[in-house]
Amino acid sequence: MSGVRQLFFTGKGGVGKSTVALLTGKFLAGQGQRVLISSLDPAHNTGDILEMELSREPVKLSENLTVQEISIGAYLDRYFTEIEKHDPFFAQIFGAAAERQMLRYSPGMEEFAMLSAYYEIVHSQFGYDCFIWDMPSTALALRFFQSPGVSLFWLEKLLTMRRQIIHKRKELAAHTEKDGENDKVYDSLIHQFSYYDQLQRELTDEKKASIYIIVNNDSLSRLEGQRLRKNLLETGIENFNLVMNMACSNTKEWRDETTGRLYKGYALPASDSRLQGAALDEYVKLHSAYFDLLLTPNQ
Amino acid sequence: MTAFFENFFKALGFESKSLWDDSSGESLSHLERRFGQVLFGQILGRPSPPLPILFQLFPHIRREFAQVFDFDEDEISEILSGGKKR
Repeated sequence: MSGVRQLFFTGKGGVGKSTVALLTGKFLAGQGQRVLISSLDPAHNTGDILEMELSREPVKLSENLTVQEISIGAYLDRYFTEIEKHDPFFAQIFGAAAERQMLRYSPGMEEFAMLSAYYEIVHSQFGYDCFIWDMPSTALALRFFQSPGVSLFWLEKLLTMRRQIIHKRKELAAHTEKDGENDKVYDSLIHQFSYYDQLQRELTDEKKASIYIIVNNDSLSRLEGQRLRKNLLETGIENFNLVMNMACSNTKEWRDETTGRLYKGYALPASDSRLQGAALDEYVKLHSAYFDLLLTPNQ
Repeated sequence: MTAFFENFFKALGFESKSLWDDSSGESLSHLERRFGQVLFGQILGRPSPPLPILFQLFPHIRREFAQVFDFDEDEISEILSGGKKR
């Protein structure tokens, strides 16, 4: 997947994440890039904007543009079934449908399912130059981006402790002339570490991945955008851009001083008509210079 | 790992030195018990790894569960299969 770009669109609910994701996809497809747009937002509305039914099955909108809506619940169900196959212990505890439902919403599960969906799609759908991700709004999107780093933090600690246990077992085995047993816990920790490490590297690679925080020209969405920006920075994620959707003026860039600090961002002008169906293509044609600027990496 | 996580972890009551430093002088059961305490932290009212990490380890952590909750491994299997109640 060298050279393949990942573009993520998130922000406060209602700011136009899905619309900007679609517009960007259409722009890139028009430039000859092969683009897959996937909605990971549990409150999908990509299909509504396109005025068509969407599902997990990718739908080709044009020669270079394909779109799909991902069901996070389906990923979780598949994951639980997979665990059960290997471990009746899990089935005993979480076997009932009601318990399974609660488990879906337990801490860590939604972002885990989103990461699984991301990983599976990126590593199995070949032939695309760009993956566009229509993300959930701020809180869940933030957990998605932070999850690999948080998991790696815990896995490092658990691996350190596990090495001590293995070392101690080997010491004891030497006294009793038995071999130290193969440690499946350690193997699983290493396996999980590799998975999250790869995700972390992919999501934070400034040359290949960009997070677009969408805001509107109102203080609430701008403040939320700034909080998201701050939280991403605190966890070492720096490959993001601020984009003002439905900006009033024709400026291609804007400066935000809502909280006394200066933030530079990109802008997309408001549309004269409702951005649905064919109006999306008209908008992209009219404002291609804005997308050119928006998609120039790492400015 | 960033200072943010280290500080976050300490703020929640984990003294990293006593938990993570090399402790080769300690007994195997003590090391296993401590590993289990971190793994099952959520049940014990402590910060703990995300659930997906725990779920992946489920088939292999009977011993740790037994150490932390003072069961023996056979007892856990019996309880989970709907047999003996503790």
